[in-house]
Amino acid sequence: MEKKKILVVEDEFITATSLKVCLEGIGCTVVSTVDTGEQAVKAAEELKPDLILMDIILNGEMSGITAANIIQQQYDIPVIYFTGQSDEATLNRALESGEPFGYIVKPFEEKNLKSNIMLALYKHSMDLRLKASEELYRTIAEISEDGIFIITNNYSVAYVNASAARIINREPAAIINQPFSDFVPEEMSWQIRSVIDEVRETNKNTRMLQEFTSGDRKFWLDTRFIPLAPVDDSRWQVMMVIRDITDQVILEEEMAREGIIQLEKNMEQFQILNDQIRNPVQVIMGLTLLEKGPYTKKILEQAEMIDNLVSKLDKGWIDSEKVRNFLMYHHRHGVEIGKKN
Amino acid sequence: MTTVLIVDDNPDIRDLFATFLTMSGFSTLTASGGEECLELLKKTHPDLILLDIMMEPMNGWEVLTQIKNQPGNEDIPVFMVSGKVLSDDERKKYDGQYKMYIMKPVRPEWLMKAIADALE
Repeated sequence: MEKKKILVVEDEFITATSLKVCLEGIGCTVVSTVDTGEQAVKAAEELKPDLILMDIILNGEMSGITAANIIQQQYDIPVIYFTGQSDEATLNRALESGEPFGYIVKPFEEKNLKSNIMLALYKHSMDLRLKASEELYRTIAEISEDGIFIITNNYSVAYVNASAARIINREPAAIINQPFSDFVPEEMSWQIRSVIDEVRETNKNTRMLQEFTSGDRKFWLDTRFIPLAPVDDSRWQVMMVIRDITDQVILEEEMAREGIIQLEKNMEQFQILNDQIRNPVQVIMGLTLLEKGPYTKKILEQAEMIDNLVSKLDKGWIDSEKVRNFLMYHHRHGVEIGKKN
Repeated sequence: MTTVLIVDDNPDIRDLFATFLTMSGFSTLTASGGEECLELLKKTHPDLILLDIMMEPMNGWEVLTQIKNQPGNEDIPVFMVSGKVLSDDERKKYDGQYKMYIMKPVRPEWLMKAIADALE
């Protein structure tokens, strides 16, 4: 282990001296020894030690606990408390108020001291890594174009990214810790709740497509629901990743609409042609029967052949009509373009 | 005398049907389109109408609807006549409003029999 820089905060001279000897014996460097909280904060800032050993009870105005809290918050340096056996109440207070990386009860032993220091440094380095990775994922979530919510107990919002806040048109701060149902239409809120319940029960991802209207605009959202590990036994979490697919849906519908219009044009053309072909066939048939002669039978046969050919086109028209009805049904364009003859 | 009104934008078809109807003992009236047909119906009351579908600007279905909306004309039997097949949409929409759907080409004697049957 490289030599770790330790700041000792201790107002008893003898303890301070023996600590210094002990620390150097286990391969640490004592960068300074101070005896008040105020000095401890100042030394932490200037010397940037890797770790601070702090007596809870100190001379001066500032207690060891206060000093430790300031140092941890401002300079992110791990602090190990040490205390006399009689200070149990103070120690408990210290453990509750801050996030100490360990504590040692005097008189200390070298072995105990070393393991506490190593553990505190390790814990601190893990904390830093966790913070870095948390920050990384938070940044990724924040810049994501997909809207991300994390929903927790009471269906309230534990996390919301910028895109999600934009989708529901609120400031993120106004959303956090609020019930999800406050931001979405009631019907949609119930739908989402039931999907969340399902995801919690099955512990499996699921996906939902939703269409809704806001003002005179229609929106389509493609939402994935992902169960997350619970924070603790009593707090579940489900992540919702929402993608606005409105543009895509509109484009698809536009294409389908164009296709249907083209199909209708073709069908109409079919009908006009069939009708136009059958009129002269009708006239030929009629006139032939009007004045029967040696060729009447032959002419009628020929007229029938033409009619049979046109009937094949009729069949094509009937098929096209089925295709058109299918498309109209599936793309809900029936009202707009279905009313043509 | 029994009168049949022939509505068709094709003059050859009008002439042909009129010829056969006359030969079969009917009196005939003709109209070259929907508007003319509706005008005629204000003055006369034919016993049956042969109505072509593919016409401009008003197609046969639109003419049918208007005929049925003219008071006194609801009961005139109408034969829809066309060179195209009847679509499902049309069947559903106009069911009950017309007496028969006739596909061209139709054998004249068959048409005459159908008209006579309808008027019985």
